[in-house]
Amino acid sequence: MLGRREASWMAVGATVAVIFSLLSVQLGETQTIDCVESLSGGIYQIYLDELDYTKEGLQNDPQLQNLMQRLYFKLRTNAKGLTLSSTPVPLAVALCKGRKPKGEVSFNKRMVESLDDSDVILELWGLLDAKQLDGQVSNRNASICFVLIPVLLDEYLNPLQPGLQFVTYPKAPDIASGELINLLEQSLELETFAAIGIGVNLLKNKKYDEAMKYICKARILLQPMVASGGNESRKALKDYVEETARQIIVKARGDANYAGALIELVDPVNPCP
Amino acid sequence: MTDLVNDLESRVKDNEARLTQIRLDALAADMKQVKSSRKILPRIKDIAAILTPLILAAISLYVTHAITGAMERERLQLDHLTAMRDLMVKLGSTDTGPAEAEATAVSLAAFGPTAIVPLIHELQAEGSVRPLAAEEGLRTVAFRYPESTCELLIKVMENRSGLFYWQAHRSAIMLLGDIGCTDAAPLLGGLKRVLETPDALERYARMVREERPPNHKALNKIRAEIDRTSKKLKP
Repeated sequence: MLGRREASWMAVGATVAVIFSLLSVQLGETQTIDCVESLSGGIYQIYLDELDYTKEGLQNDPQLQNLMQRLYFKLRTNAKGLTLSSTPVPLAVALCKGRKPKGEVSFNKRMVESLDDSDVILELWGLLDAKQLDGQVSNRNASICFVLIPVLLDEYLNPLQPGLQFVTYPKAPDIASGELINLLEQSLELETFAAIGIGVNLLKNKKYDEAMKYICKARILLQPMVASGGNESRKALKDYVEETARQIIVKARGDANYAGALIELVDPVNPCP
Repeated sequence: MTDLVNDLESRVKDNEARLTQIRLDALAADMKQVKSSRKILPRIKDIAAILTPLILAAISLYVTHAITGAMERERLQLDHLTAMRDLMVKLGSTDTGPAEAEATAVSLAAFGPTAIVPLIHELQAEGSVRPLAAEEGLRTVAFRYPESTCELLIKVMENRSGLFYWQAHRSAIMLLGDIGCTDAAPLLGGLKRVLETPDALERYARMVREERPPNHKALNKIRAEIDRTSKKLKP
């Protein structure tokens, strides 16, 4: 039971705390709010954050608005296309209205662990930009950051792992702005990164055969990106994928409950043919 | 013969005189005692007459003080509940970002042990913002009230009827280590042994809330958290 004096001091402290807390509403500096559409219960999730604009006024540009709407629509309706038809897994795209991470700083270790606890495999956030001159909008482009949650989580153990992958659309500056939408829709990055997220999670859940399929799919998709002069982080991601493939073999063979094809049939040095 | 009789008579007379003197002395002593006791009694009565109203006043003052104090505590608790409710609503808002949520949880912590249960409730929330903020809030309460915080976090881990999600278990295990709840060591050791059995996943799934069932990945995280906390709790 609290003493009267102690209770009085606590009341004073609490009052100060409430005032401090209310003041922090005024500050309201952060935008990494929770994703309201987030699901739970064994469903892999892709968080699609609200894209932000680099300048005031761009939010009124119909082409950029259209780009955002089509991107959301494409992802939400085609989520199933990101899983293998031979090895389907439950996957959903959650539209996170109002969630706008500020960059790597928004993804501290505990935050990433918590996202991984909710089976979030990938989070997309980014910026839409364009030139504005005399009311005319041109050179529209989108900078998208793909946050590979399970890869980023491993980075805390091994700092060489590439958990954040930045992609700018259009990739070539001479491409007309109107094509931006198609470029984003046809992008292989999303499919690749989703396969990595699913594969790593399946490995952690001891589903070795299924994990190998997704990881090998990711490796195949990554090869042309790296061959065509991909950046260092893409190369590091390819190394990560190949190491994960080897880990799948090692862990499958070390698991007394596993009796699948990975024990004998796969070359442990080059598991993905 | 006559001399002998005379001698005896004179001795008897002497003894009678002595006896009479002794009786007189004793009587005088008794009289003295009676006189002194007659002096004390009025003093006690006087003192009692002065003290009685003072004692009554002290008792009534104490009773009034106790009642006022109790009423004030009740009122404070009511005020706390109202203020805490506002903070809980703010923490639960979908518009609240991590920094704001943390500030709110730390504000809740200022209410002391009363805030522990609501903060534990927030560990169960969906998403990342509220549970992580609640962890910070619980660390803050524990700085001032480690025993109360440890006691309730141990209760979280003792529950085997599925009241808590595995994510809340994980947070609780981490906090037990951060706060230094040494009493939790045997409990965590017991849970670790359960998690090392061949049917660990099924057994653990029965202990936690079923809406977000644990998988092997979750089990590994719980094991790793127990290992980390056990290291911290070693003397």
